[in-house]
Parts: sequence; structure tokens; C-alpha cells
Amino acid sequence: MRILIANRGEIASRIIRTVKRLGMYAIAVYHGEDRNAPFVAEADDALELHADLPSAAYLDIAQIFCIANRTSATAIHPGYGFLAENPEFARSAQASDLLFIGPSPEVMEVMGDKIRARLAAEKAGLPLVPSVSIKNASEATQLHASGLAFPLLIKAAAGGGGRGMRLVRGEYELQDQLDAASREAVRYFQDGRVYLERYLEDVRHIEVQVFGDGKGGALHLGERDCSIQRNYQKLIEETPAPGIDDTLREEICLAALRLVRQTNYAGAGTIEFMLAPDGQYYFLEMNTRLQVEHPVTECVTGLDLVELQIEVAQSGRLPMTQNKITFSGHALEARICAEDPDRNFLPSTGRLIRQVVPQGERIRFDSGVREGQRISASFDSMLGKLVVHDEDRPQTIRLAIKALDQLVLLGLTTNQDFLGRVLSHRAFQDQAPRTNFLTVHDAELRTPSMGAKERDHLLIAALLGARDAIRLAEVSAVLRARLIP
Amino acid sequence: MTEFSLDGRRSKVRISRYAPNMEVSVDGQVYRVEPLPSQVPGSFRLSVEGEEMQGWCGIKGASVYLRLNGRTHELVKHELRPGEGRGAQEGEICAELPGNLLSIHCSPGDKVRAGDLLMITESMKMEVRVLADRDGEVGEIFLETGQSFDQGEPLMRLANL
Repeated sequence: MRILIANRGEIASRIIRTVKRLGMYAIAVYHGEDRNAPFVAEADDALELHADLPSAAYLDIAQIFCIANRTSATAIHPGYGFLAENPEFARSAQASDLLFIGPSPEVMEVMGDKIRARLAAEKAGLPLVPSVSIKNASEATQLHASGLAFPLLIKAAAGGGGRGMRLVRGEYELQDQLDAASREAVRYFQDGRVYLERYLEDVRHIEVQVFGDGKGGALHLGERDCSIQRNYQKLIEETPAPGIDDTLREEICLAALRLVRQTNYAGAGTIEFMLAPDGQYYFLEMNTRLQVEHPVTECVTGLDLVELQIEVAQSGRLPMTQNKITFSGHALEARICAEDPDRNFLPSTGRLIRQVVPQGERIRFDSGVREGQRISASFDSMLGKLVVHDEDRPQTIRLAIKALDQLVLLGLTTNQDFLGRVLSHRAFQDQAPRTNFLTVHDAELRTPSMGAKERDHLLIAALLGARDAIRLAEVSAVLRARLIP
Repeated sequence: MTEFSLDGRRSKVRISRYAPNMEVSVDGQVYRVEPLPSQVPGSFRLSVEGEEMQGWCGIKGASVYLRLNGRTHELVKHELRPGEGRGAQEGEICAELPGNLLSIHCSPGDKVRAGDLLMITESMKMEVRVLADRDGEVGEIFLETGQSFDQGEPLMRLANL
């Protein structure tokens, strides 16, 4: 198989790794700004995409298929983000006789429309957050009829992933917020439809990794807890979800399976739920792709999810039965991003001059960047994922803290130390975090100020370290000069 | 002398003594410092007042990136112009190139004449005879034989008579 990876950065590297391990041919596409990114060199072949806006390059369906043609690709892996959940892309693959490693365009359309997705989930017997579709405030009576009370969340039907949501506190602002939400939805998703949902506070984000064979066959690979989020962007994910008893876990996973069967889902997917403090869980949405945080599932199951995706796409069969899937230990992932926690997580840019990755049997670092690479604001700010796996949650957290400590990224500001503070926080360690964790503990997670002695030590290290660094740089320059033929 | 900006404040740092023990002055506060061997390029090991520390350092233009004690910092380096109070003290003989000290041919207290042999060093695989550039009295010799030095580093003091 010749697989074209329609993506970039760490996920492209990660997919290429499995493609090559399976003895298959990996084709990468990249925008010029990514030419020094590791994934380009890691692929068996890499062709350039052209676009004014670098991110637009990875959305250019026509160019990507052109390259697929030129390279005689036989399959496409869309990764996550970009075109991964684009039905047109999946359809074009089918039309070009290319194997699309993902679900059908039809189910993408259903799950991409949050209103239709809710209906599908309801049909499969999944619990839903009470909701109603209204177009203007005059229909507010419907709210009471549907058992909804303020505060409410307005969501865009074509939104998802935390985007296109507005909080409405009372009837007094309902019309204004509905209008604004609809306008935004048109702007961002080209679809102004919105619906209202009961606003649940203090919830946890629990999701289930599933696989389907497209014919009603379904498997689950356990759940993940992704409650540590900032502005609905996940930062830390772990499995198993802490503090959930086996009965509830089983129930949530079985609910997820029902949806997979109900929709004849094919390939890898993730079904997201909200878990309320009272133990009630509600369907949130389904993501019809591989997710960023899939490595934690790989750690505890020992399975390669990209390999599974390829196998299911090729054979149309699930390669194992549910009882063959075992879970061992605890795994956690922290997303390392080029952001400045001291400046409200403003994206940082710059040339990465040093990258030292923590080593260890139970440590995995999926990096999307290499030393010397210039990180710009053109793309998502995630540089890599630190994944650790140990026997239980306390040991896993300890290992993650240690690994974060050993990680060295010099040349631009990252959230690495902020993540360390989150993991070291008593509340994170002792309790199952809620999605409001970072807001609630914001003040305690700020960068601590430095003592005078620490400052002086730093200055001494800077002076001497800089001298050595200069010397090293000069030596390397001389050596490099000698190496030029 | 180097001035660094760190956390919104500037500080002056310099190596105030090379031998017999290195001393670094930070805004006037003097610390005994011992650079320790480090296995990995880009990482450093130091002992400051007996406290050992290990970290990583990289420079990019005027920025110095440092990772120490589990925290990454960015400092901005301001090199002070020569004469603005930094490198050689009056009466010091400094190395023109980085190298190693092979042998010492004088002692503190000696009165020497211009042209007298003071030390023999090795730089770029060549032997360099360090001669007195004037008449003077030998003062402190900062290095021991076998030790290496940087370009511009003071080797010894030669006081004017």
C-alpha cells in the first residue's frame, strides 16, 4: 500500500512511523514552511503543496489528489484536524478509487452536524443533555417545555470541539446571544443553525475510543479522561478515568458501542461524554477520526491504533474480538505547546535551538519538531506530546513530572513548566479533575516568582553557560565548514 | 562584564577571579563557582558555593535560554563595551587565543624586563611564548600548568614598577 498522509507535524510523523513499520510506502505532503519539519524527511516521498496561507495548503483537496495521482498513492490517511472529518474529501477519495482510512462520508456528515449527531445518539439510546432548537427568543416558552432553565449554552449545529458556543444567563439576553451565535456560526462554519442545551457545570470530559467495521461490528478500547482543558482545548489526558467505578465505565463504553453499531461506523472514532457530579453521563459529540490523545489508549492496550485503522480499512473487518482487548496500568499525555502561560497563553514563535527528549521505557515523546526548526504562528501551537505509562495513577503522575523536568526545549516559550505545575497540584493528584480545573486553580498555577539566590544562580549559569554555548557554536561552525565538500 | 535582563530586571555579572578559585560577581555579590565537567554538549554543570547544579543553555542572538531546576528561562544579554568595565584589569596579561598553560617561568614578586619569558602556552596546536611587554613586577598568576583558558582571559598580573 502506498499511503498518502494528508497532514503535518507530530501526527504525520506518527502515522508515517506505523506505515513504514508495516512495510508500506509513506507519502507526505507539506507546505514550504514545513520543509524542515521531521515528517517531511521521515516519509518515503514528500511533495510540496503550494498556498498563500500555509494552513490552507493542507486543506487543498485538489492539490492533494493531484499529488496522490502523481505518486500512485493507493490510500489516504487524513490524520486529525484539516480534512479528517471533511465528507467531500472522503467522497473524492472514493471517487478516485483511493482507500480512505476513515469512516464513510455519510457518517461524517451526520456527526459533523451536532443536531443530527444528537438524533443518532438518541436513537442509539444514549443519554442526552436536554436541548432544544429555537430560532428566536419568542420561542422561549419551548425552553420550559423541554425542561431547560438558564443558564443555557447556545451551540452551533456545524460547530464542535468547543467552538461556536455561547453562554446565556437569562431571557433578557437570549435574543442578542442567539443572533450573535448565529452570525458567528455563519462566519466560521457557513451554517447559521444553532441549538440550546442545558449548561452543565462541574463536569468531567470522558470519551471512549471505538472501532467499527462498517457493518455493525464494534469494539471499544476503553475510555479517556480529558478534563484538563483551557478554553475547550485539551491539555492533559489520561486513562483510565480516575475514580470511576467499573460499572459506570462499562455502561459508558457499552453506550458508545451502541452508537457505533447503530451508524454502521467504520474505522476509528471517539465518542465524547460529559460526566456530571451526580454520576449521570451525557452524549456530547462523536469525532470521526483518530484523536490527538490516542497514545494513552495505545499504552494501556498495547495496540497500535494507526495499524488498526489501516487493517480495518483494508480488510473491512475488526482484527480482534472485544474479549481479546486487555488494559494494563495507567497512562497520561501532556500536550507541549508553544505558548506563554505568563502572557495568557499567547502563541510563541522562534527557532528551536535545543530539543532534548526524556528517555525511558515508559516514556514516549511524539515530537513534531526538530532542533533548528523555525516555529511560526501559521499552525497549531502544539510542538509534541509527552506520554507516560506506569502501574497506577500516582506513579504515572510522578513519572510525567519527572519526564517534563527532563524535557529540554530552548528557543521559544512553552507551556512545559505550567503542565508540571498542574501535575504537581494536590487537587490534580488527589481528585478527579473537572473541566473547570484550570480556571478554578488559575492563581495557584501561575509561574512562581524567583528568590534572590535562585536568580543569582541563574545569572551565573547564564554567564558561564553562554560562554560554553558560544564556544560550542564556534566549534560546530568550524567543523561544519570543514564538512562542506 | 555582561549585563542580563531577567524577569524585567537587569543585573551585572562577571567573572571576578579565575584562579585559584573562580569567583563570579552578580551585582556585586561574589560567589565561589566551580565549573564541573559535563558529559553532554549543550548541558553544563556548576558548583556555586558548594551547591551543585546541572542545566541546559543555548544562545540565539542576544537571548540566552536556560533550563535549570525544572524551569526554562530566557535572558537577554547586553555585552558592555570594552572599557565600560569588563574583561582585563589594568596590569593584567591576557591570552590572545584560547589555549592551555604549558609552563610557568616566573614567580610572584619577580622583577622582569620587557622581553623576558613569563609563560609558555599552547594554542591551536602551536607553542606560544608569553613575554613581558614591559618592565614590571610579577603579581598573581591566575592559572596552574595544564589549565585551559579562553580568548581574552587574564593569565597573570604584571604590575608596573
